[in-house]
Amino acid sequence: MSGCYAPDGTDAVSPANSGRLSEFFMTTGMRSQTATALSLDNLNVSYSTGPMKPKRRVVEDLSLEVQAGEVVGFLGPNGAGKSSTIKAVMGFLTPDSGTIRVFDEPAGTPAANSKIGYLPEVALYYPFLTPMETLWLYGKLQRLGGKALRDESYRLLNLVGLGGKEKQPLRTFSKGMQQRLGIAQALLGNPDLLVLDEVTSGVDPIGRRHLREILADVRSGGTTIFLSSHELDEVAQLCDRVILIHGGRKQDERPVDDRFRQGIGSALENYFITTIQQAEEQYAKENNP
Amino acid sequence: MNIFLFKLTVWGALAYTAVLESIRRKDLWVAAILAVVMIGAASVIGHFGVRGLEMFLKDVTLTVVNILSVILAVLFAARQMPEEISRRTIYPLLARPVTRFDLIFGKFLGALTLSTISLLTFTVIGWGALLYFGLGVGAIFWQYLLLRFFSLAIICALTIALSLFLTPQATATMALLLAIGSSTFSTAVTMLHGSVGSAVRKGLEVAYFTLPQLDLFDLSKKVSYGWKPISGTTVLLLLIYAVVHSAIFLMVGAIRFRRQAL
Amino acid sequence: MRMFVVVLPLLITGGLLLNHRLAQIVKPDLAAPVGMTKAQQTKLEEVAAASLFGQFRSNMADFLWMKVDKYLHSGVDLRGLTEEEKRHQQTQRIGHAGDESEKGHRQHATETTIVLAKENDWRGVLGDIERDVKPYLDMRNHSHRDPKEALPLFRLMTWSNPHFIPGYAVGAMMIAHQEKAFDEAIRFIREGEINNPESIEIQSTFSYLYMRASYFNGKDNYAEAVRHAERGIHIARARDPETLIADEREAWQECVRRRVIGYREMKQPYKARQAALEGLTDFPEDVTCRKYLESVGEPLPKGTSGVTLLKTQNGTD
Repeated sequence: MSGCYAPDGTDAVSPANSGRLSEFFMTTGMRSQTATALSLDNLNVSYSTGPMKPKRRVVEDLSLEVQAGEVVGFLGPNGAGKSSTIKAVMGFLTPDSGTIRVFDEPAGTPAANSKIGYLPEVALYYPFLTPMETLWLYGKLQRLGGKALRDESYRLLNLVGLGGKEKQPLRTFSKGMQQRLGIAQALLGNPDLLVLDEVTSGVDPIGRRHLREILADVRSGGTTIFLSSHELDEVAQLCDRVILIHGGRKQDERPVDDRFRQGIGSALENYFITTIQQAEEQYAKENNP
Repeated sequence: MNIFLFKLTVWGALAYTAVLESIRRKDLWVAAILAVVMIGAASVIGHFGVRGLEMFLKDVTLTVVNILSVILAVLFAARQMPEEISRRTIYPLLARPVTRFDLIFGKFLGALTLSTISLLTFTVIGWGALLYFGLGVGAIFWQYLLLRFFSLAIICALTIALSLFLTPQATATMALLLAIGSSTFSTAVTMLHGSVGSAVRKGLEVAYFTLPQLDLFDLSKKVSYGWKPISGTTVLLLLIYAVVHSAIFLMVGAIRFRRQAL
Repeated sequence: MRMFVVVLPLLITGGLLLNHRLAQIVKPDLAAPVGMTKAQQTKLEEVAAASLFGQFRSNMADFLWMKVDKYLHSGVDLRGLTEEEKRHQQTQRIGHAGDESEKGHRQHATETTIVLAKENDWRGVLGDIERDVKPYLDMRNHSHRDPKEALPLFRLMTWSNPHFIPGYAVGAMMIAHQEKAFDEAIRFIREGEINNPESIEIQSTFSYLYMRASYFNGKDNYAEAVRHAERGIHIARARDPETLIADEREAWQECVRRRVIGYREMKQPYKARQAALEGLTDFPEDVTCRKYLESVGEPLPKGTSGVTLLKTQNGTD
C-alpha cells in the first residue's frame, strides 16, 4: 500500500506498463525502512467455547520476528494455531495478551493494514460481481482509484492467469480461480508485507507452479512474505526461514538451507514430522508425568 | 486525500457493491413483481366504483408500499454483515486500512440505498395504478415519501445492529416485529399508561422513549384520506429523531462488533 | 439493470391490461352475483382449501366493516375506553355535531381517539408530532363524512361474504339515505334476502326501508313494510329464543314495532291493537306497543306501569 503512493500522498505511477512484477516493485518501491516487518511478543490468543464455559487457548506465549524482505514459512499441523496467529496479526482477533507490530505499527490498525496484503485461507468472493468489480472495491478501500486502479487490476488479473475473465461473474469461478483472484487482491496496491494463509489451497499443480513463480517475483521485488502452508515443497522453494508451531506454541525455527531444498521437500517433510513428534512426546510427558 | 473524502469513498464503495450485488441477484425483481400483483389486485377492486373507493384504493396501495418496503429493508439489512462473515469476504475487506465502523456504515448505506430504490419502485407502481384510475395524491405524498425514507434509515440501522448480536433468522424476525409492531406497541402503551401503577408506568415511558416509534413516520393515512401537508417543523423534528436513533443503533452495533472475533 | 428498466414498464402495462380485462368480466355495478346456495356451500366446505378461502372472505368482510367507520371519520382511529378511563371522566369522549338521527351511524359515546388528546398526553413533543402526522381531530364535537363514500365498501363486503348480514342491513340503509336511491336499496337488501332467507335483520331492514319511503317519499308502502315485519316476527318465533343474538333480538323488536305502526298508518286499528298486544307478549316492556295501546284507550297488560316506562325508555322508530 505505502509503495503505491508518492510522498505527497498522490497516486503513484500506474504499474500497468511495467514488465515483470519484480521490476515494478523495485522501480516504484517506497518500502518501509523499518528492519522488522512483523514482530509478535508473548502472544496469547484464546477462543470462547460458549457462555459460562472456559476459554480454549489456541496460541500460547508465541514470539517471533520477520525481517523486512524475508520470506518466512509458518508451519504446523492442523489446529496448531497458525490461522489464529495470522488472524491476530490482521486484527481479526483480539489477543488476550502480548503485542503484535507491523512495521512498528500496532496490528489491526488502519496504519498497519495499509502495509499488508492478505490472502485468507478460504474466501468465497462476491458471487454476483466480476473480478474487475471486486478489485475495484478493494482498491477503493485502499485509496486507489481511476485509471491507475483499472490498469493495475487488469495487469494483476493477467498475472494470476485470469486474463480474459475480467467480466465473468465470480459464481462461475472454480475454487482454484477464486484463489487466484485472492492472490490478485492481496497484491493490489503493492503491499510491503504479504500475509498468505494456505496460499495454494484448491489450486491445481500447474496453477501452484504459476503462483510460486508469482511469489518468487514478488519476493525479488523486496516484499516481505509471511505464509502458512501445508505444501512443504513450495515452502522449501520459496522461504528463507521456517517457524514451526504446535499446540499454539513455537516448537522451532530455522533457515531453509540447500539441504531442505534438495529432494523436493522430503528433507523438510522429515524435519517437520520429527519436530512435531518430539513436541507431542514432550506434551504427553508434561501432562502425564 | 482528505480523510473525510477517503471515508466517503470507502462508504460509497461498500454501499455501491451491496447495491450492485443485490440488483444482480434480482432482489428488486421480487419486490417489483410483488408490488404489481398486490396493487393490481387492489385496483381490480377499484372497478366496483372507483369514485367511492378512492380512499380505499389509496389506503390499500400505501399499505402495500409500507409493508413491502419495511420487509425488504429488513431483509436487505439483515444479511449484509452475516453474509460477509459467512462467505469470509469480510477478511479481505478488513485487511484494508478501514475500521470496522467503516464497514458497518458502508453496509448500512448500501441497505438504505437498496431500501430506497425498492420504496421508489413500489411508489412508482402504486402511483401508476392510482393515476390509471384518475386518482391524484396531492402534495402531502412527497412528505409521505420523505418520512418513509427516514423510517427506512432507522429500520436498516436497527437491523444491522441486531445482525451483530443474533443469527440472520432471529434478526429478521426481531426487526420485523419491532418495525411492523411499532404501531401496536405505541397504541398499547398510550392505552395502558393511565391504568397501571407508577412503576409500570415509568417502565412503559422508558420503553416508549427508547424504542423507535416508527409509526410516527407513517403519513399514509393522511394521504389516503386527503389531508393537508404537515408542518415543516414536524418533518425537521422527525429527521432529527431518525438521525439520533440510527446513530444510536449503529454505535451499539459498532461497539459489539469492535472486539468481536472473526 | 437494463433488463429492469425495460421489463418493469412492460410488466406494469401487462398488469393494467389484465386488470382492465378482469374488470370487464366482473361487471362493475351494484347487481353483484348472487351468493352461493346452501348446497354449494356444503360442497365447498367439504374441501379443505375452500374452507380456508371461505374464512378469508369472511375476514375480508369484517375488515371492510371496520374500514367504514374509519372512512366516516376521515381516517381518525377510534377505540373503546378502558375501564380506568370509564371510571375517570378525563379522557376525551366522542360526541356529535351532525344530525345523528340517520340510521347506520354508529353511536360511540364510550369511545375515544387512539391518538391522545393534548391535555391527556404525557409524551410531550412526540405526542405533538403524532397529532400532526396521524389523522387526528378533536372528536368531542364532530360530524361525519358523506356516507355515500363508504357505499362501495358495503358492496365489497357482501360480495366477499354474502352471509354478512350487517353489510346488507346497514348498506341498504345508507343507500336509502341517498336521494332517489330507494329502488337501489331495495335491490341490495333483496339480494341479502336471497342469500340469507332466514335473517330477521334483513326483514327488519326491509320494513324500515318501506316505512321510510312511505314517510319521506310519499309512497304508500306500509303494506309491504308490515308484510316484511310479520315475516321477521315469524322467523324469530320459529327460532329457539336462546339462540338469538342481541342484533337479532333487536331486529325482532323493531319488526314488532313496525307492524304496529304499519297497521296504524294503514288505518287498521283492530290489527294494530292485535299487533301491539302480541308484541307485548314477546317484549312486555316495549314502549311503542304500550304507547299505541294507551293512545287507543286499551288497558295495559297487568303488572307494569306504562307511564314510567314511557318516561325512561327511548322507543323511537
